[in-house]
Amino acid sequence: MAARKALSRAFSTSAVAEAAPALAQRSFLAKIFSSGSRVNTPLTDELPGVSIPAHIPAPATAPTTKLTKLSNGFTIATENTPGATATLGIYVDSGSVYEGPYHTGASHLLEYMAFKTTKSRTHLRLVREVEAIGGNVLASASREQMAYNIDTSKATLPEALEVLADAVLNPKFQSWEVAEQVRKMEADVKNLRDNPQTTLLEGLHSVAYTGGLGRPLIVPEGLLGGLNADVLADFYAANYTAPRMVLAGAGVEHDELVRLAEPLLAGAPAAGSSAEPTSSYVGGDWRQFAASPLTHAILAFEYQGGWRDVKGSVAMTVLQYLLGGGGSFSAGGPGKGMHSRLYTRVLNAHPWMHNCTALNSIYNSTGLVGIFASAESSQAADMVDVLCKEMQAVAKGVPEAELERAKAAAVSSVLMNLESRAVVAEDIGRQVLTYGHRKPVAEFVSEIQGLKAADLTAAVGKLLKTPPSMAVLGDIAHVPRYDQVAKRFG
Amino acid sequence: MSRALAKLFDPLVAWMAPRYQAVVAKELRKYGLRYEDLYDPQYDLDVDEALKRLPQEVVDARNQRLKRATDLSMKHSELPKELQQLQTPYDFYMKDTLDLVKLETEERLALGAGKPYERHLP
Repeated sequence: MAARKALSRAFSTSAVAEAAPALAQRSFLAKIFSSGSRVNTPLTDELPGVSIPAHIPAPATAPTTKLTKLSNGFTIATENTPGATATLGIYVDSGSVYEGPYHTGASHLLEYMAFKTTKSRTHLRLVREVEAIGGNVLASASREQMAYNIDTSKATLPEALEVLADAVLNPKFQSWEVAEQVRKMEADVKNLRDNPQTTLLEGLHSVAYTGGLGRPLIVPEGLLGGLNADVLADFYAANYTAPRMVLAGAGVEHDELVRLAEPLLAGAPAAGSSAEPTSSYVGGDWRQFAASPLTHAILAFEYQGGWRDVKGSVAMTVLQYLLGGGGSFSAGGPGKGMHSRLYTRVLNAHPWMHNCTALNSIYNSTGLVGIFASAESSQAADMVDVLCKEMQAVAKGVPEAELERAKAAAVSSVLMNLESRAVVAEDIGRQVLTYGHRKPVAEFVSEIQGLKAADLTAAVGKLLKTPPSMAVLGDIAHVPRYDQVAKRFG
Repeated sequence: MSRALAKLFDPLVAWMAPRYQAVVAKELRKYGLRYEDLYDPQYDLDVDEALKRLPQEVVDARNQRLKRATDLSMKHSELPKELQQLQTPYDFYMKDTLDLVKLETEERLALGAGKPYERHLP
């Protein structure tokens, strides 16, 4: 009796444990001299007496996104993706564009201060509760939107929802916690010098736009002293209001989530004091000298329309896959994109080019589309020449095969990413903030597949008519002047 | 049982307490100190943590009062009478923060987390 119990405990699944008696038929000597059990069935055959439970079938129809707006303006949008896990996210229409001069860096600091002490819980308690339900929390700040996510299993959904709502709607910005996070920010901002792409993007935005998008997302070192708990509380009170917030859920049942969330979210303030910021693109030149063996540069143009222009965004997305690119030392592989234009025309042709990647930063009504490159400092002038030539070459026209490959890559990337419920929740949240509803993925896929070469050429032509923006880091003396670059584009 | 016994002494304590507080206040006023200035951060690490959380002006004022009191004590003198009348020895600035620190320590121990700062024997 005890031996049978010991045997059943030795197996990790109940299905196999039930079959334990069948497997315990061993010889007399084996019973004396060996401990544990020995499975004699070869690996090519099924274990005898083991019953595998039937797996849960996939739903008959693909789940759709449902949306409810609460009385205070808060929106709840969910899609019931299959699986055992769920993701909940609160997305806020707030970011560095809403910062005024006294709040520079508030969004960046809010990302660090996410999921810390609230009015009902200390930070330690919050961390322990998230651990107890087996969840992961993540916060992310960008120029136009803030994201707070929690991943959990479907069984512990109510607890996760309560922790998320508490952390986002009831933060208690304690002065010592804020001071500690500002110290961490300082260390990270100092290390940013080692990240040329981020440095260049910050510089590019500061010269390309006036207004909201021209404000820094990552706080400049000199302005760190102005960040404290009062600044944060002011910014939070002005911008985190219910009409500007969305609760997105993937893997949750809509009615149940609305029933659970309504009392938690009803307390969010209904009106704030911040006005919609405007940004206008002007184009410009940003340069910073650095004594490094590599020079890095971005050449970008304005994509007018932003995400709200769906056809234009589709063209820009396909352009991204068409240009592609990456680092010259990356190993290839399926789907790596080594047949993209920047690889075949630039990286394979010029050994002094260390990195050449297409980049786009698209916002609600505008965007920056261009190319980022790193090359040896002695070839800095040639690098900018190559960037200009590549942009003009796309405007002239691309072979059909390349365009079809780029469209297929875009479609497959969209569909593969949407297999993850974390990405689905993010997609729901950000789309509801931008469009007010979620466009089904089939719409985007059909737009991508319906893109013709003429449409793409027209879009790129329109892009190149806007004044260029340049950002250079490294040997800036040998890089051509801004007006010389602008003249090439007419 | 001990609570009932203690309650018996409540009237006596209620009579003695204000007199004792007045005597302590008189001594503190002589040196220009507040009651909470006497809390030693090296004796109780919770006081050290509370001082780290207080605004810098409050901590600076406390340090200045302590320096003034040390100077007076060294010179065997006391504060001038006019200044003694302006003193507020029972104006607590650390109580709320210290209570919060002690609550947090309790919660940590209840959750099995342990204190973030502790004295160790070398």
